[in-house]
Amino acid sequence: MTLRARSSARLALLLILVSATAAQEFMFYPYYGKNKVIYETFRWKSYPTEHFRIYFYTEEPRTLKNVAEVAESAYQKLSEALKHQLADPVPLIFYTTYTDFELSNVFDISEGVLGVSEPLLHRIGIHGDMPLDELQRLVEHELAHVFEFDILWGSQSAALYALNIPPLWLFEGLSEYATQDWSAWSTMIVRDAVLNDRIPEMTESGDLTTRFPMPRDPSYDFGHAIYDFIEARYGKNAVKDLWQSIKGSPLIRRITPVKKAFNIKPHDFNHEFQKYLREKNRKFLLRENPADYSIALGPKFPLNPYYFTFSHAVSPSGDLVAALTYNVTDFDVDLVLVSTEDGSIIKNITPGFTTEYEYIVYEYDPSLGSDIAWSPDGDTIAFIARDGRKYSLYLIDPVRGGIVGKYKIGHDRPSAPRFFPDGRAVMFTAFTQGTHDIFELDLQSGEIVNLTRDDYFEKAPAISPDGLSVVYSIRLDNTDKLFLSPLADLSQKTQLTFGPGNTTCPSFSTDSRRVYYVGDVREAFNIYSVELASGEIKRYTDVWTGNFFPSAHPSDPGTLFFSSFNKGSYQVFTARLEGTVEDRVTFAGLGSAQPPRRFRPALTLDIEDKKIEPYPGINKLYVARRPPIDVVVSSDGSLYGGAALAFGDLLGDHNFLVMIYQARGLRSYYLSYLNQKRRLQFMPTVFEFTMFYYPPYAYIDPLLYDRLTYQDAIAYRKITSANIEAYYPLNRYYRLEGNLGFYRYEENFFDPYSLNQQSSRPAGYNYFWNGNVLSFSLAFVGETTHFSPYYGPRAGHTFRFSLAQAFPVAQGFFSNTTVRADLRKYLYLGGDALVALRLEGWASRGRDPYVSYYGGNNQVRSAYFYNIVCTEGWFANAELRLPLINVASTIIGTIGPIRAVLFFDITRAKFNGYPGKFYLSPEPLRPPVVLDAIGSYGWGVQLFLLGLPIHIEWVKKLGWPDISDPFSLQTYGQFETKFWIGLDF
Amino acid sequence: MRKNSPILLCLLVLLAACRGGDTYRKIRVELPAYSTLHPEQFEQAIFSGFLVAKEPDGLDLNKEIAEYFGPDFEKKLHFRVTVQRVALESEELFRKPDFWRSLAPGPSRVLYVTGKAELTREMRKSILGKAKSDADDPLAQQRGGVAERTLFSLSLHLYLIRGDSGEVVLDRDFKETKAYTNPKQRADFAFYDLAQRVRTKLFRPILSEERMQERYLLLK
Amino acid sequence: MSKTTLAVIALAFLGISLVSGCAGPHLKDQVGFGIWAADNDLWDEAIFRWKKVLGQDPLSVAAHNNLAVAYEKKGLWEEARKEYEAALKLAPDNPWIKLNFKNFKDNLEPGKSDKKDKAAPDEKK
Repeated sequence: MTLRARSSARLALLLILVSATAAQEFMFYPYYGKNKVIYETFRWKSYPTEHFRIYFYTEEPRTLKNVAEVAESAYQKLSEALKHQLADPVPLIFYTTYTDFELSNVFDISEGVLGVSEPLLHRIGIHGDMPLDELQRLVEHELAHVFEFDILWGSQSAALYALNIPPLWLFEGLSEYATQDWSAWSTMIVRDAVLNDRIPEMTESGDLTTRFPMPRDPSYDFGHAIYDFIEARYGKNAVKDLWQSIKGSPLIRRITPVKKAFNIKPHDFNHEFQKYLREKNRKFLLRENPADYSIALGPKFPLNPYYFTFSHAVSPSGDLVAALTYNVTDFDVDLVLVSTEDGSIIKNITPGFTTEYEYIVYEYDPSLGSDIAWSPDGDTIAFIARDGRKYSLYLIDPVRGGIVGKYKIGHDRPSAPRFFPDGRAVMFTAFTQGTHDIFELDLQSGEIVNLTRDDYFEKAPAISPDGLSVVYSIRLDNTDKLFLSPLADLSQKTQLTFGPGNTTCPSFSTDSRRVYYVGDVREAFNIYSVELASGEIKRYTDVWTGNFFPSAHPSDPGTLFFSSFNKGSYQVFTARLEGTVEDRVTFAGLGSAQPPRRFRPALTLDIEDKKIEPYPGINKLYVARRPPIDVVVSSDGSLYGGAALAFGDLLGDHNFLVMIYQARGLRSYYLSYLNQKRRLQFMPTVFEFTMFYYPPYAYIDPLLYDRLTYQDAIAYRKITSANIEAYYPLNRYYRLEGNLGFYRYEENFFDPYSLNQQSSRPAGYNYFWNGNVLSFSLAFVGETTHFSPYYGPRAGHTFRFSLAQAFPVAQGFFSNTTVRADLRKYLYLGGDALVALRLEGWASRGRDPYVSYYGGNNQVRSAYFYNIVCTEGWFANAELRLPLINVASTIIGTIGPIRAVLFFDITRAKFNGYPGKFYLSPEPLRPPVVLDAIGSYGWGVQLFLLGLPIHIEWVKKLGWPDISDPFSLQTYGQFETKFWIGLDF
Repeated sequence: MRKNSPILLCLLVLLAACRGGDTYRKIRVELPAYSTLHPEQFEQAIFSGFLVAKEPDGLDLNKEIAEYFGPDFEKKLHFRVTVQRVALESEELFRKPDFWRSLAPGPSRVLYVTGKAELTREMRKSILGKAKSDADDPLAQQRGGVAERTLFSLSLHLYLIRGDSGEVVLDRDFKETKAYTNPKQRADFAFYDLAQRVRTKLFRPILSEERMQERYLLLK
Repeated sequence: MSKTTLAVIALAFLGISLVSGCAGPHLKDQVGFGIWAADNDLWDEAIFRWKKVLGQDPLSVAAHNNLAVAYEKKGLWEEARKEYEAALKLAPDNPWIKLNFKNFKDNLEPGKSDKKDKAAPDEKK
């Protein structure tokens, strides 16, 4: 199973899942992960073209033809431009829809990802939820990456060994440059930065950096601009020269690419580059600055913690604007209410985190329409969110914030919800079978009807207030044009806008007589309107970046709300705009004069059915990822190190893992095969795992207390196993796990002779496990925990319940029944502060109860590492984690984030048949204190250095002589300083 | 129980306070002043002189009034301001529309600023009681004797009259007084101080400026 | 029951009371919604909500009174007067409406409202 865990720890997670009865032994990766549910199993096929092998599962022949033509056209264009050929066919994996793309076992897809390429096997992953011209551009972009990998590293697997990766702008910039096209979005980002004097700069090491917030990494847009500049300054061949120069870079030391290629220092390059951009954008200087319209309404990061208005909707009164925005402190998309009087944020109506939906859908591309809508009665706001396999439309109360309605949408990428004027239904757009149509959702019955049912790409519908018409845009060839239809029959299409440029984001005036929209005929999106009776077109703005989503004030004609791109983000503005008449048009029916233009790739191909082959599956394996090297230090000073190698098939359905791991000279080996082709996934495994721990020898023979330290009693446990594990995810958060396996246990002291010599008991310590186990276990696992990018768990809960039975099938086989529970709760306090609670318990009964060991690190801090051994026990932790410093610049480099922690823990443990007691010797030569439970309290700091989570803590031991009186606890000894490396639970 | 009484009392008080908003909610809200004058109907203000009953020597009250209030009409109401002295014989003239209409015949968007004005000055004396001696500062001057104050009073009966109809659109009486310890206080400076108070009260209704007031919203 | 338990229960009770009593108007209804909007200086929104109430319940005293206050805020004097009179017709003995209406009338007479202003202090050395 591929879990949505952080990739650096994914391998360790697989190790945890091997043995259902050995949870305590794996302390360094404490999360169970969320599930990627493979809702559908695809019947993959492949088709070879001259330069690709296309993997697909769609039955629609036209789709394969389109993809093949797009791919070969892209190859021809790039090969000519870069004067380079690829030696091997490129594996192009085509997913019919975005939600199918998310099920990929090769790529880790998150919201907003259009396509992916990877350097190991040169695989490209794309999906079909977009118009054909955009698919062409996407394939050109991703294929350019493959060319880059090939130019840089030569062969497919050479990327495995590359230690020095060039700056990101080199890759993304070239991929954008290779399309020979500037998208409106990209143009706007660059122009905005130039005119606001926020151009990113190249550092001495060659990276592109900016201290201003930007909607995406500047490597894309400014990388593109850098290549344009290089071509303008040094000629067309200079681009290839640049790539040739970085090809020979040494492994360790990186030389700035522009210095190496053009002998120009970064600060001189920055000066020239900025001059070039300013000259290119000079003509826009005299245009309107969005800040002149009004104060910005809503998100004004860093003045408030909200950045970017993806979409907005005006309330029926005009006093409020709902804005979909990014919450910088929670790293989450939220819906906020903004006052149109003074632009202040009145309320966040989706605070914190929820499991009612996975994430709210948002779009960077305004042409797809606004992603939220306010109901005509003002009582609800509609938005679309990811809900399991597909999406749902949600209705939220704007004042109390609770979800008041939810409607499943079975189509892909729904967007642009719009209420009907009578509030009984919602209109939206979505993909269905490769086309993008307009739908109606009845709010009473939940029924969804496709209103367009054609192969046009309809977008961003708006319904007239009188309920008679609907206006929307259609992508014709590679531009958007506006169309009007009667609401009763959307097959009747009247074209409203003509000529060059795009026209999008339509909305009606309050009297339904005029349609407002935006158009980019002046190289920036400005607000226009067309009067439906006369065809008169007015232009209202002449902005230097772009204005979007114009909507009329509900009760004040002449005042418009709109979104404008300003200082790196979309912000909402309002203005009283008169407009000037620019033109008068005559409307026409779609295709009445001539057939509408459709985009076609440059090359045309015929598909030969006989060349279509079924995907062979496990037939051929490849190295799946570069071997990671993990290091952990435990509180007894032990160093753990390991490495792994993963192999898989091309589609990632079949994965083999080989892992080697060492601590204190004890080696462990692991080999597994994971089949994640279907929803029910299974993993047969063989391993030999050797670990150490510290049996409490003094529990058996107290006389040893005075002669030895706890570390002298170090013992090893070796488990050799062959087992099979199965996983069935119920949804993203909960799953069932089962395990059937054979285990052989061997345990003894490192130095058994001297330990038993010193013991007064002739039998010595006789709780070692030596024997065989045939066991079956079941577990129920859940994780709703939301993780912060820096600190780990933030809010939610995590649990694991398991039941294992060992069967005495023959002589030498153990027999026991073991139950385990691990419960965690995270209470988010805001600002990265939280209370983390954990309760973990287990009990093993039977003839041969299982012996577990734990202690130290963040389990029981005052105990020695792995020094508490028992057959039954529990421990509980409570931690208050408080952020101290986000990032700090020091003489040893940048450290951070740094967090403080206040902690408390308590534990009880016992061997079956014996009283559960702890023995403490607070003073030498005195009899030990007998305690029912032990624990600790204290404080510490956690910081990240070189990517490792380091903990320094001051710990005091607690003891409970009588656990029935919880307040009878005592403290023992002084505060001890402890150090360990590992993740928080 | 006795020990806990203060705690219980506090609890009860708190609960009572919280339960107080059952049927109504008192709010403080800035409400605009009511105005009968609609400034958008005019484009020019003419200071046509005031009937001056009394003014200190050396002070031209008409000039001072025009110079002080004229810029406000210009900046706040965007009027063109001119001074055009008119012979005012008596108060009755203010209520004669024909007279004012005749000054600017034909349709006009003119507002006449006129009325009665008076600035008086008087000296007032009062006897001060002896202050107790201060033990901390025995050297402090012990007061006593007679205190003098110069008292200025500005009475302004202001009329704003429409030029096209002769109708009085604003008829307000202002009286402001201020005392100064300086016996040589200049009259023009005193006028400035007093006119400042008049200005605030005059323009609040004209511009519908907001003022904090209490209202009650009903909850059910 | 120990003292600690008693204290915990008392604190919990206080907490619940504070939340329920001091939390402000219930937002389950449009009147409450309008009050929330008024609290946030969103008077057009408040007018929208209270007019909505009157559309469903023309005899709502709260909506008439509150709408009158909102109209005052917007400088719509005639509309405010009509709403106050409607509210008083429905609830002639309501002291809060009567007080509102009195203050409303005082506000219409500039001289009367000026007298309420605090005079600036005289100059003293």
